[in-house]
Amino acid sequence: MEKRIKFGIICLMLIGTLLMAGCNESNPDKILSESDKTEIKKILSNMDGRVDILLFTSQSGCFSCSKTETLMKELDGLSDKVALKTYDTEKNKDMATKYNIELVPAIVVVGKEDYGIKHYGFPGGKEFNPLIEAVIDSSRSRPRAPEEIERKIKSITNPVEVKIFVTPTCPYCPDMVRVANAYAIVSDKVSTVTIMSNEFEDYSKKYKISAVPTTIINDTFKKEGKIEIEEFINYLVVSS
Amino acid sequence: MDVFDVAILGGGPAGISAGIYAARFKLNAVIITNSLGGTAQTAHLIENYPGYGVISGFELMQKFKDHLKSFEVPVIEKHVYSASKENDFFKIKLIDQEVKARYILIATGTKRRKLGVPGEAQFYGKGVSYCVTCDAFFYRDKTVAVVGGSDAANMAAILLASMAKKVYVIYRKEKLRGELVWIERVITNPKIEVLYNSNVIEIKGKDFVEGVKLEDGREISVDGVFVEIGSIPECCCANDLGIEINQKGYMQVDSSQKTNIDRVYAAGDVTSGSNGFQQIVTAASEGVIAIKSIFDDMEKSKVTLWKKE
Ligand SMILES: Cc1cc2nc3c(=O)[nH]c(=O)nc-3n(C[C@H](O)[C@H](O)[C@H](O)COP(=O)(O)OP(=O)(O)OC[C@H]3O[C@@H](n4cnc5c(N)ncnc54)[C@H](O)[C@@H]3O)c2cc1C
Repeated sequence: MEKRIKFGIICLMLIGTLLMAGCNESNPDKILSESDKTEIKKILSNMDGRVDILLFTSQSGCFSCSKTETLMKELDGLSDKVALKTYDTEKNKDMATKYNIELVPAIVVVGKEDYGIKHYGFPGGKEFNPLIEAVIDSSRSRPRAPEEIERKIKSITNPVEVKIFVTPTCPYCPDMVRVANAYAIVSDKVSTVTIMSNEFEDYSKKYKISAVPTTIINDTFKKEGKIEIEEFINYLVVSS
Repeated sequence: MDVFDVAILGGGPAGISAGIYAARFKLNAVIITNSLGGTAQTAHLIENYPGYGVISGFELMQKFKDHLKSFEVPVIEKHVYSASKENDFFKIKLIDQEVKARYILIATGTKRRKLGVPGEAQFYGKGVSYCVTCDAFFYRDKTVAVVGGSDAANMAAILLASMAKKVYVIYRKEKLRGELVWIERVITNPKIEVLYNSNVIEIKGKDFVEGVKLEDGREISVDGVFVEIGSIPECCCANDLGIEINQKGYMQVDSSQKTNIDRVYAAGDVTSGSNGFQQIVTAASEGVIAIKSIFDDMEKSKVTLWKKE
């Protein structure tokens, strides 16, 4: 089978646990079960190089910072190649500005290069898998897309930011996040931000979100529902 | 080009169960699907799949996937565009590759039926939704309508009632249908009002949904409309291969899950099988029956062409 890249939507059948975001008011000191950890460890062994997970938190007004920190620390412990760096947005304003952090908790995945993959909110429920996949993909060199898509990617000349609004219980959302992240990885012009709408109600209202997934490109183009990978590139090109 | 004994098209309960049994029968199988897990993932709560008590649709399908994974059946997560017959093989066309297989098992399920009324398309994502587990959260303390009266609609109403201020269930018949357990929960829930014998003829609003208009002239103010009026079969490749479709639009299969075309089988919600009872347990068993039939057929003709290495 073609080795080209894992461009289409990769199928990493990850852990079965439902890390229900937002539903659990408490901040458990343990989130992953031992069997989840074993499974994730196995999956992370596919990483090539080191990946930094930059976690931005805040002492005040953050609903899920502590829970997210617990989960990220657990993830950090599962591979030598994952390095967690935690920043308080108040105390590390430079870093928060550099990565344009608008909400907390924020997770920025920085691998071989900064492919531009960001996640706002506790990455629970169905959103955990795409995040792990992004970590693995970021540990590798920038791959090449199939020729026709590569040609279109080259015509993206200006930065394009893709926001994907999701909820932890939306079965269609992870695929949309995967599609967007795949383009962030193949193109140095594309970056993605996944937003857990259930945690950031005001932010979602600002963008008039009432269904997920909703994709917003450069704050202008908006589309509800899943966009197929072959269609998505056209929206990126038009928006750039 | 990849060559398989069986290409299973669709990866819902029918396709995954077929994959598991194919592996156990040592068939060289591949599952090709848009997204592994299928429609069942959108079910809020499954309370009728034996062995699990109460489980969310997503979690149950995760267990299906984990089980499949233990057999190393290849999964290609891509859309199937068409299939054609070429001598002893079928050629299945995907976006950037072709897959060759000697047998095809179609398990492509269904897609959501739309109301087809003015305002529905206009307000999709602006108050109109087809996925309650995705979007219920946006209607906290609001008023919503669920259109439909089946299990899926009843389930949707119950989930919404846990967040919304008020839920209307708008149904065209005089009695809700489906499992009595769900019906009982709906009619005894103080937040839910069922409007029987009612048809939505328009969804109204400005930027977002503001209400629905019923056939009898009534207008009801709502912030959101969840359409749960059943589904239509996703008859992938039926025209390409000349598969017989029944009057209701489903693929006609016999008791071995065979279609009218040699070496083409179908299973799950896309078929006329299981007396039309579309459930996870029936889809799973149809997938399994289809694989056994394919295996028997192969044994009969003694041509398992590509054994696993
Ligand atoms: C809201 C809701 C609640 C439900 N609750 C219950 C319940 O409580 N108990 C119960 O038993 N059942 C329930 N059901 C029904 C159950 O989900 C279905 O009966 C079951 O999923 C059917 O399985 P299937 O494998 O036939 O099809 P599906 O689950 O629909 O899977 C088909 C797969 O094929 C893929 N596909 C389609 N066309 C193509 C193509 N051209 N190329 C590639 N892939 C394709 C689809 O993307 C999908 O992944 C519920 C359904 C809904 C919608």
